Amino acid sequence: MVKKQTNITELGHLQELIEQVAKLRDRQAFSSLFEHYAPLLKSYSLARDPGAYLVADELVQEVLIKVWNKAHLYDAGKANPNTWIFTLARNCRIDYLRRNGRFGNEVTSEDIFDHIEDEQSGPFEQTLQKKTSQQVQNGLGKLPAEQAQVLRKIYMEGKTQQEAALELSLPLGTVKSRIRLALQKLEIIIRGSEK
Amino acid sequence: MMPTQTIKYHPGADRLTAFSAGALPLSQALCISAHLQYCQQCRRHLTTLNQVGSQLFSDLPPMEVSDKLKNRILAQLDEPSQTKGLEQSGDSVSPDSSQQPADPHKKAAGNLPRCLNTLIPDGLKALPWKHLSPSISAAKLCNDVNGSKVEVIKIKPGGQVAAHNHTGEEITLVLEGSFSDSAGVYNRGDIIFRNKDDKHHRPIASQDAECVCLTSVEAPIQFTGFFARLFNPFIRRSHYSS
Ligand SMILES: [Zn+2]
Repeated sequence: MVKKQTNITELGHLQELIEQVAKLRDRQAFSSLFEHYAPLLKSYSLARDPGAYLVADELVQEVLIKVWNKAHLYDAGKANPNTWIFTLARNCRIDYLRRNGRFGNEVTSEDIFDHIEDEQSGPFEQTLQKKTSQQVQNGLGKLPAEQAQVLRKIYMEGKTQQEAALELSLPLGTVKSRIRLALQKLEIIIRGSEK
Repeated sequence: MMPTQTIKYHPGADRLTAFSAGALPLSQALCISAHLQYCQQCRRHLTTLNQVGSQLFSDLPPMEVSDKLKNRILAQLDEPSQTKGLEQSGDSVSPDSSQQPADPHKKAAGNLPRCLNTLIPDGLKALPWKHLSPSISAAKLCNDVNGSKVEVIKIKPGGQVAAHNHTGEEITLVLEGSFSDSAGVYNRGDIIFRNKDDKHHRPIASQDAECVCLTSVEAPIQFTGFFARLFNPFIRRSHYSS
C-alpha cells in the first residue's frame, strides 16, 4: 500500500500556523488549521463511533476551540503538530466518554495526561523527536497488516485489548503479542515487563 | 520535580500503548500516570508511543466537514466564554481560587504525583482514613464505572496485609516507603500488577517506615451494580480488610 507521506515541510508549515494563532490570534491561520485537521478529527471520531456524526462534529469543534485557546502552550520541542493534535483529540474523547458515563467521573484527561512533565525540551529533543517521528512513519507503512490493524483498533477505535481480541476472534495473548511485535518493528524497545 | 531514582517495576509495553491511546479505564490510567511522574524511562516511551498515535491519526481517511461547522467554530472564537479556556489552560492563576480548590499546577502536598491533585487536594493526612486492622488504613479516592475502586492504603512499619484473593486485577503503586512480598521489594514509583492467579501476595511494609500505596482494584463483576451493593451485606468495605 502506498502511504501518503506527511513530509517535514508540511509539518513545518502546520507549526508556523499554530504559532501564528498563538502570537497574532490569526484567524486565517486558524482557518488553514481547520481545513487540515477537521477532516482527520471527524474521521478519528467516526473510527470509534461509526455513524455518530453529531458526536464527530462535537469532537471537531472541541479540539479546534482548544487549538485556538491553547496555541500558546504548544511546544514544538515536545511534539510535532500532528502529535499535539492527536493528544488533544484523545483527551477530548476521554472526557466525552467520561461525561457520558463510560468512564469514572472524578478524574479528567487533564489529571491523567497534562501533568506528566517532560523536563527537556530543546533543539536536541526536537531533533530526536523528528527522527523518531520519521522512524515511526516509515515503520508503520511496513508493518504486517495484522499488526497495524491491532494498533489502529487501539489507537483510533479506542478499543481495549480485550475488546480488540473479541472483535478479531483472537485470544487476548495474540493481541498483546501483536502489539509487542509491532513496537519491536517500529524499533520502540520497551524494557518494562509487568511483575 | 520528583526525585530521580531507580525504578525497577514498570508497566508493560502493551499497557503503556493502551495508556497512550487513551484506551485504559481511568482507574488504571491514574496509576500509570502516577508511575510516569516518577519514571523518566517510561515518559520517554510514552513520547514515542504518542507518535505512533499521531502517525495513525495522520493516516486516517479525511472526512468531509461542512462549512456550517466551520462557521460555527469561527463564531465561537469571539465568545467571551472561550477566554475562560485560556485561564484554565494553565499559566495564569485565577485570583478567585475559592472556586478551584485544587489548582492543577500546585504541587500536591507531600510530594505526591500531580495526577492526584484533584483526588487528594489537601495531602494524605486530610483523607478520610479508615482503619482496616491495627496496622492498615485505607482511604477511598474514587470508583470507576467498570467497578474498579481506587484507594490509598497506609501500612505501618512492619505491618502485613492479610492474605487475600484477587477476584480481578489489582494495581499497586508505591507512593511512600517500601514493601515486599515473596516476589520482590518495591520502592517509591514501582508499579505492580497482580491478578487472581498470583499466589505470592502477602505484602509486608518495611520495618523502618510507613508504606503508602495507590491501588486500583477491579471489583468482582457481580458486586459492581448498585443493587448488588444494596442487597449483599457481606461485601467487605475494602478489598484489604481480612
Ligand atoms: Zn517506568
